[in-house]
Amino acid sequence: MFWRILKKDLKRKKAMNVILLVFIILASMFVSSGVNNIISVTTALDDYFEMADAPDYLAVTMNKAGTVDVDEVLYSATSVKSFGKEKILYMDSDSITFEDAESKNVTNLSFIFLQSDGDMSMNYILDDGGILESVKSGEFYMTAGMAEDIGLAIGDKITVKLGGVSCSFTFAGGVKDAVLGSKGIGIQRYIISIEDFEKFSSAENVEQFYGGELVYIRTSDMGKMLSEIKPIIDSALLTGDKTTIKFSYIFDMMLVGLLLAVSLILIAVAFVVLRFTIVFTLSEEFREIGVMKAIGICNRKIRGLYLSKYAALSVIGAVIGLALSFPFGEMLVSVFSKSIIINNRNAAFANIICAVLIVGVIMLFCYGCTGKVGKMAPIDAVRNGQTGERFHKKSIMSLGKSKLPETPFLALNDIVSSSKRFGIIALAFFLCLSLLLILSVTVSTLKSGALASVLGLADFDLSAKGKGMEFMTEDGHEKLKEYLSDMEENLAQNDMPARCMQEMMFKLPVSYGENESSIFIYQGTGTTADMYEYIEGTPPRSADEVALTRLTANKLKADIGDTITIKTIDGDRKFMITAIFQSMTNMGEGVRLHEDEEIGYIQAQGAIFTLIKFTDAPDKKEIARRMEKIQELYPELDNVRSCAECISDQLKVTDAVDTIKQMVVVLTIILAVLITVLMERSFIAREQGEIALMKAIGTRNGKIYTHHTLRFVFVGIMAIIAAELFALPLTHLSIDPIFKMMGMELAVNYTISPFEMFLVFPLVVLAATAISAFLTSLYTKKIKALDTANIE
Amino acid sequence: MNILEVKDLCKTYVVNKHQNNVLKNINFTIGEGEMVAVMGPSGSGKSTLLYAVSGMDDPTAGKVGFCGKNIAGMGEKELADLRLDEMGFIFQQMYMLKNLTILDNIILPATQSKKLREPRKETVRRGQDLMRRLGITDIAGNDINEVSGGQLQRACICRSMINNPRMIFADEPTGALNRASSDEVINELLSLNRDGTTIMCVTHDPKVAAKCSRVLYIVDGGIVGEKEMGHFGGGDKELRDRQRELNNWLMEQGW
Repeated sequence: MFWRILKKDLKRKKAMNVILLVFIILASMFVSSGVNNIISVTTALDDYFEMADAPDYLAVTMNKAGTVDVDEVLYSATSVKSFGKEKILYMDSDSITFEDAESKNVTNLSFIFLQSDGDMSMNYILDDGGILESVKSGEFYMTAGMAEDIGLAIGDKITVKLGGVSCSFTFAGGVKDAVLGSKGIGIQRYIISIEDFEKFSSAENVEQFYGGELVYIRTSDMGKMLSEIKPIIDSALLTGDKTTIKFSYIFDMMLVGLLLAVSLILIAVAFVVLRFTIVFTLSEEFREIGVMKAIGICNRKIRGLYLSKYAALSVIGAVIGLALSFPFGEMLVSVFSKSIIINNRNAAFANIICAVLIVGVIMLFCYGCTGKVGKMAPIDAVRNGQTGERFHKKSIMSLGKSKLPETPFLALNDIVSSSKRFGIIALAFFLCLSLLLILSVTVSTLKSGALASVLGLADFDLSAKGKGMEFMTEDGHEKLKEYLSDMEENLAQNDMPARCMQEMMFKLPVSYGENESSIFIYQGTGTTADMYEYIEGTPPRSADEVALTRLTANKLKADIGDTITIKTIDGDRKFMITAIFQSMTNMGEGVRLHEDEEIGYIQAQGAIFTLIKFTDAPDKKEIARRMEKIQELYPELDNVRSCAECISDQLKVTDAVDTIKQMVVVLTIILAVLITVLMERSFIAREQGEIALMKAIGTRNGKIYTHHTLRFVFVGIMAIIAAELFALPLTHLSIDPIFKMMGMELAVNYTISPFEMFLVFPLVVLAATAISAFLTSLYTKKIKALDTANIE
Repeated sequence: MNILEVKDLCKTYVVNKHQNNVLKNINFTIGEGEMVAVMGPSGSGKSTLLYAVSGMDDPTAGKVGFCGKNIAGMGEKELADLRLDEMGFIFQQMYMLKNLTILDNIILPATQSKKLREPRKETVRRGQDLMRRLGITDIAGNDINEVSGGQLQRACICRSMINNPRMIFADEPTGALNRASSDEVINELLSLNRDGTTIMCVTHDPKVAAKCSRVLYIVDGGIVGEKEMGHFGGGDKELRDRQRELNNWLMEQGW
C-alpha cells in the first residue's frame, strides 16, 4: 500500500522530485570533490616532497665563488645521513635561443641551470606521474610550470650556447621539480643527457666560470648539521632547509588556498540550497500528511513513508553525484596544480564518505522536518498544506500605497513576504559573487603595479632586463652609474626626461652578535634611499647605514639602532640599522644598502631590473609610446615593460590567479543558472494555483514572465549590492594573510578594476540569472486559467 | 440585446485514448442584465460549459459570441484582456494571492486594466467602496488566512467587480459556504444584477437558482430544459413561491 502511495507520489510530483534529485546530485558532487580537494591540498606539499624524495637541506654552489671541498665537509659531518650532488652549469637568458620566433619570457628568473640525467639525486616527476629516468641525446626536460609560462610545447627546439659550444635540443616534456620548481624560487632547470652535458662541461674554462653543484643533504639533526657544514653554507650561493623550500611554494599555496576557498563556497552553496529545497518540498506534503492522519494512519508510518521516499531520492542522487565528483574534482585541481602535484590518492574513500554524509544529512533534515507531523493536528496539516502557510502575517507591502507598477510590486512583495525563501537564493548568489569579486580585486592589485614598493623597488614607469652581468666586476658600480647617467642623457635628448635606476643583488653573510646568516642584500643605483617604502625608522642617510626587513631583523635578533656586520670580499663592514622595510622579494628577507656604499660589484649575484621613472609625468598612452621608443633606442634591453606588467610578472601567480578567476566566472554563471532554473521551477510547481488565478483574472502571460523574472533580478541585485559592499573587507580577510606570509607587514592597498567589479561581473551574473529565470518562467504558459478550478 | 451567444458548442476530452464528449451541441443565449443559473447533476458538464463560454477553456467546436465577438477563435492575449476588463470570475474555492492583503487582491485586476487607466488612489477608493457595499471594510488590511470563508467569497466578488465587467461568471459561488454566508453572497450577486451586471452562475442549490431570472438544466452535456423565472423582487414569500415552482420543474427534469 505504502509503496503504491510512494510510487504515485514520485510520478505525480515529478517536477519537484526531479529538482530535489538534481540538487542532491549537485550537493553530493560539490561536497565530495570539495572535501577531497581540501584533504588533498592540506597534505599536498608533504605528499609532493615525499614523492620527489626531496632533501632536508639544499646548497647551491658556484665553482668560481669558493674553494671549499664539499665532499670532504660532507663526509666528515656525522649528522649528514646521506647526500647527493648534481653538477650544473649556470646560464643566463642570452645562453638560450628559442627556435620559435615568439619571444620567450625568461626575464624574471633568478637562475637558469643546465644539468644532466647522469647524477639526478632526487625524483623529477613527469606529467604522467612517472619518474624521469633518463634523457635522450638531443632532448631536454624542464620545470613544467615554467615551460608553460614561456610557452614551450613538446617538440619545440632551443639552442644552448655556452663557453663557445652550441647545441640544439628538442623539448621532450615538463617535470615537476619539488626543490627548485616553485615560482617563489624562480629557478629554471634544463635537464639534458649526460653525453650532451659533457660537450659543454668539457669545453675550456666552462666548469671554472659557469660550473657549480646542487648539493642535496639528508639529515636527522638539522641544528648539528648546519654547524658541521658551515663552510659549504658560507660559500654557497643559495641554501635552504625543507621548511624554507616549502615556504617558497607560498605562491603556489596561494592558489591552493583559493582552491580551498572555492571548495568551501561550493559546499556552503550546496548545503544552503539543499536544506531549502528539502524544507520547501516537504511543506508541499503537509496536506497529504493531514489527510493520512485524519484517516488514522499513525505518525510513525507517515514519517516512515516520507523518509523512505527521501532516502530513495538521496541514495540515487548521492550515487550519481559521487560518480560526477571525480571528474569535477580533477578538473578543479588541474586548474590549480601547475607547479606542484596535488595527489588525490584518497579520492575514492573521501568521496564515498562525503556521499554517505550527504545521504545522512538529507535524512537528518527530513527527520527534523517531518518531526512536525507528530505535533500537528490533522486539520492543521491539511490547512498548512492547502495554503502552504503558517498563520502569521505574510503581506508586508501594500499595493494600494505603493507607487510601483503592479508587476514589480508583486515581485518585490513576494520577496519581502517570503524573505527566508528568497534570502537563501540571495545568500547563494552572494557567496558565488563574493569569491569572484575577491579574485577580481586580487588580480587587479597584482596587475596594477601598486605592489612595486612591497617588492622593494622604487617607484617607476618602465622596466627592462638590464645588462646585469656587465656590471658584476670590480668597478661595476662606477660603470653602472655611468651607464644610467648616459641613458638619462640620451632619453632627455629624445624628449623623455627620466630618472634611470638599477637594483643589484648580493648574497653575503650578515651577522649581529652571535647570529649569522647568509642574506640577500640590495643596492639601488640611480635611486636614493628615501625612494623606498619603510615601516619603521628613517631611511639610511649615509653609506654606513642600512635598512632590514622585519624577517631579517628577527632572524638576526637585531633592531633599529643596532649595528650589523656584513662579510664582503673587502673584509667585514659595519652598518647601523636605521629602518625596517617590507619586501615580498625572496620571501621577505633582505638588507638595503645606502646608494653611496661602495660595495664590490664582483660579488653581486645579479641585477634585478633597469628601471625608468619619467620626470615629466606622462600619461599612460605616452608611456606606452615611450616604451616602444626606448626599445628602439636600446635594442640590447630585453623586454621593456610597464610597471604594472613588470610587477605582475614578478609576483609570478598573477596569470594563475587570473586563470582561476576565469574558471570561477564560469562556475558562478553555471551556479547562478542552476540555482535560478531549479528554484524558479520549484516555485512554479508550488505557485501553480496562483499563476492560474492570475490568468483567470486577466493577467497576460508576459506579465507573469516579467513578475517571475523580476523576483530573481531583484534578489540578484540585492546579492550584488551586498557582495560589492563586502568585497574589500572580505578580500582583506582572505588575501591579507597570504600577503603577510609573503613578507608584507602593512595592510595591502587593494586596487580595483571598476569596469570589471561594478559592471562586467554584476552584469554577467544578473544577465545569467535574468535569462535563466525568464526562460524557466516560460513554463508558466502551460498553466491555464482553467487550472484555477483544479487547484488541489 | 444578447451579451452571450452560444452556438453548437462541443467540448471533448480524450482520456487514455477514450473520447469523452462533455458538451454536445449546446445552443443558448444570455441577454444583457440577465441572471442565469445553470443546474444539473454532478458530472453533467455545468462547470465545463461555464469555462468554455467564458474563454477560460477552448471549446472543441462551435461558436461563443461575447458582446458580438467570437471568443472561440481569440488569441491568448485578447482572451486575457477580455477576462480582465469585460468579465468577472467567482470560484467555489476562494482563491486569492496569499502574499497580498484582501484589499490588494481586490484592486489587483484594476491596476492591470487598460480600460480604466486611473490613479492608484482612485483604484483603492473604488476597492474600498466595493468592500463597504459588501460589508467587509474591516478586513481590508487582513491576510487571506485571517478571514472567514464568507468574507473571503465576498472579497472575491469585489475582485470580480473591480473592473466593472459586463458579465460575471460564478462557479458554485456558495458551494463552500454555510447557509448564512451563502445567502449573503447570493444577495450580493442579486444586487449586482439589479445594477445591470449580467451573471451566469453554476449552482446545485435550488434556493440560489430560484433567485435567478432564468435556469438552464443540463444533463450529459446537453441542455435539456430551460425555465424562464422573471426577475426576483426580493420578498420571502416570492422566494418561497419561486423555489416551489423551480423544484417542481426540476423534478420534471429528473433532478
